[in-house]
Amino acid sequence: MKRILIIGATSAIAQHCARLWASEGARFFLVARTEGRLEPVTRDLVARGASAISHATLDVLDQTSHEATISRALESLGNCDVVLIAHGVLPDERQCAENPAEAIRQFNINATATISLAAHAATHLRKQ
Amino acid sequence: MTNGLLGWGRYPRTPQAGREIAWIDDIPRTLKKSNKPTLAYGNGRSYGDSCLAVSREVLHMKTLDRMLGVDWTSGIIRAEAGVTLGEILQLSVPKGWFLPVSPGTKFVTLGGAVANDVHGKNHHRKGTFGRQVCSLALQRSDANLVTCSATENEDLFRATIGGLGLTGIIAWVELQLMPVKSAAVDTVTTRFNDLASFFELSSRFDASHEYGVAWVDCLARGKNLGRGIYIAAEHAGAHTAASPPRHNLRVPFDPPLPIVNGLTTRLFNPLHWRMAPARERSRAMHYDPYFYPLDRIHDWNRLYGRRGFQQFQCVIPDAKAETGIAALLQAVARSGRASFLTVLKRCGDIPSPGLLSFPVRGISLAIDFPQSAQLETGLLPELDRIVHENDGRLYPAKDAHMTAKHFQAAYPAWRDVERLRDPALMSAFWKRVTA
Repeated sequence: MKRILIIGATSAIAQHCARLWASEGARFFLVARTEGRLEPVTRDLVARGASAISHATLDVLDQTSHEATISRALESLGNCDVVLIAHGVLPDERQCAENPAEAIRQFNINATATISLAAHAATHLRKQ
Repeated sequence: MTNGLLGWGRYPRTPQAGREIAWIDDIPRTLKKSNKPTLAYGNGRSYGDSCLAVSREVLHMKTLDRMLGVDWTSGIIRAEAGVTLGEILQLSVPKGWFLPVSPGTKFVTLGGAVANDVHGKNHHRKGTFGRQVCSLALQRSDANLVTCSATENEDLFRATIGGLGLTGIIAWVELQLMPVKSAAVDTVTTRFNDLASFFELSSRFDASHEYGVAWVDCLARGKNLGRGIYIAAEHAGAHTAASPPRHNLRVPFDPPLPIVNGLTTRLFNPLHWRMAPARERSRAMHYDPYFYPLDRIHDWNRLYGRRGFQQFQCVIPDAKAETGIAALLQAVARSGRASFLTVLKRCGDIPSPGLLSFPVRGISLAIDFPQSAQLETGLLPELDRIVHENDGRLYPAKDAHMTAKHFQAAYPAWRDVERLRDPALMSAFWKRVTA
């Protein structure tokens, strides 16, 4: 039984990966921005065979909470086999070109946050 | 946005642009955004224009596809409207549950199965799909999400089953499954020589078997009129094993001319009939090739070429079934216009909760025709007249040509559905038949 942490768990790619793992009876810790969307995803994965699911919400732009979220997730899972980071937004190119602050915000969501979350996860996985 | 969405028959060719719905709360937001009447579009398995919006803008429901809860003790499953019947079977069969009613393809969505109140080869035992629905949730443009069932918002429930997606956007459906002991079915196959033999075989097998359907050689005439191949089936016992087919095929492009046409049908039909066993032959097989033989050829609708095809499906009530079906088959054989796919099936008298449900006790005939201008002006009006004169009706889910007069005569409850129609929704079919 795989133990899996997914960040951005309500994205289309994350849901479809999770369905495959769920059919093998995986145990999940799901992280997403919107609480309301975690509920149908959780129900779906349980119906498809997931053995247990915990979840938390996170705004990835809030870097100060990355460490705490990852610690909590990995503590809840015990050991962890897979970390999937699948959050992200499709930036509007024109909007980004016209508004540098928006370009940086998009970069922070898609790049900086991913690097930070991956680094925190790696630290924990090394210990494990 | 998905562009170029069509009905399964790819006629009429009025491509639709689909706004993707991935969450139930996307529905009210998207309805508010569209300023023209729209419609839910599932997996595009309705044949004609009942899944096409007049505005050519639809809500594409395929990505609303989560299971919301299953109870493997009671066999009750709740799932979002874009989940296909095939996805349910994939989960449920290993747990010992099957769809109590299944149409000829597993690629229809739950929402589509409810909106068209589809039926299967066991209509005489189980009635329509709508009978298996415990409850459903409907999102209208003028209200919050409402739950409907036989005891809660009953008017809306009955108008939505077979309601062609016009009473609101179906968000989720809760369904009662039926227990099975294996993934296999025990089939009995035999060819028959004429229409009278079909009536005899279907009466006999319907009494003993859950499923029954016949392929008919629509080009046979004279004493061979209505000859075909009958296949009855039952779910197999616990000790019968069968594996699903391994390879699927795909039609990769539109052939310049229809491959399924008068010529290929004339060559194929007699051969197909002769190869079937003259005496009853029993065989166990996996449920998939039995229920969904055409699903193995992905995009088989392309075989009809760019112009597409129309399926004509009617049901003639018992009292006039024998003469009515004979008259239809004679007209088709005379025209020489038919294709390979011709199916006869007996419908039972189990009532549906749906106001616009298609089946009535009698015999249903379905025939695919390659699209052509002459089809619309010659054969179809003749077939429609025969159906009308024999108190029969056409199936909206398959239709792209039925007249308002014939529709309104066959489905008098249409006014009740129109009264409950969400003003934000309108299909090309509904506009045509309520004109």
